[in-house]
Amino acid sequence: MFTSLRQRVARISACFKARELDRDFEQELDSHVSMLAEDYVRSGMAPAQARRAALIRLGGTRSLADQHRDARGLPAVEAVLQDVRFAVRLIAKERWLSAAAIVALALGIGANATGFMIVNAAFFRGLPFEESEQLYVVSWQTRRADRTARLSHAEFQEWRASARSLDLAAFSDTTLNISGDGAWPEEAPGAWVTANAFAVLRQPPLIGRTFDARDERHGAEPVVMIGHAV
Amino acid sequence: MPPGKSDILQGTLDLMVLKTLDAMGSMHGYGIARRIEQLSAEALQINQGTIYLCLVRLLQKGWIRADWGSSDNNRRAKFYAITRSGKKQLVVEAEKWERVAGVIGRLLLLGSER
Repeated sequence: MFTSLRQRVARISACFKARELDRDFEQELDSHVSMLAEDYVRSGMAPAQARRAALIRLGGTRSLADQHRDARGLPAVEAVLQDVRFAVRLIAKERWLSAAAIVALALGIGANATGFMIVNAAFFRGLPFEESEQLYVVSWQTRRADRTARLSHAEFQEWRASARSLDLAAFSDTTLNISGDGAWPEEAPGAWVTANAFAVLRQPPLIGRTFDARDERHGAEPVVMIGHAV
Repeated sequence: MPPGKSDILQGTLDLMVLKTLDAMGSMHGYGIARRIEQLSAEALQINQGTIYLCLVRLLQKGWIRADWGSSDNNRRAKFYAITRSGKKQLVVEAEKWERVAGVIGRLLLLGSER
């Protein structure tokens, strides 16, 4: 077991020292050929012929170098790296084509990312309330798609009274004028809500209390909740 | 996992290289190849280059180690020597071989007794 771990470590480190190891092996093979040639010379061959015979006896040096590289490193990884290097060279060679491709990719990726961000915020993540998937807007639906129907307060009361499995709060969009001492009045988007709005949304206050049923009664004292935006 | 044909050949070469280094001490690649050829009475004319692939394998497994040195003719060569774990592996492999040889020997004897 440890031998195979050793082997893996050796193979990985060989990838980093590739050039050095190649040179080493080339030198080793060269000595081998020389020593073999010497033996042939000693047995009577001419030096030039001896060297040639030695090279033949050894086998192809190029293929040996390749086999050596495969045996000592990670051939699969090195093949991928070689392809990457080739790709980089090609990209650098065809500047305009590469630029056009990169721009097209960038536009595509950018559009996709933006689209996803929007869809994610609107549909997947849901509203920033507790159990927001159980939050619904309930209303009348008209037969004509371009008209919305409004609910009257009386109808709302009736619904609230007879609803058993829901909490109902009502809201109505409006624009409000806010004015203070000497300051210009400002318009602000707002809504009329029933007192249980914050309870239905399950939005607790940071300090103090939210509106409740007491504030809805006739003649109740006005109360104010202050939010960060205000 | 049953060894393939090339694995058996590789294993045999591994064994021969380890045994050569164990018996003769530190040697360079050419010397090992020559020695194996001599011992096998020239019956094993291995392609001398394949010895280096075997040596790479043995180096990776930690059974031999390598150092640069100079040969008798003052030529720069890489010398290989067996390590302690190499010696242990040699014993294991040798035992395996003897067992196989013993079994086959008995089998062949069986046939000739008829």
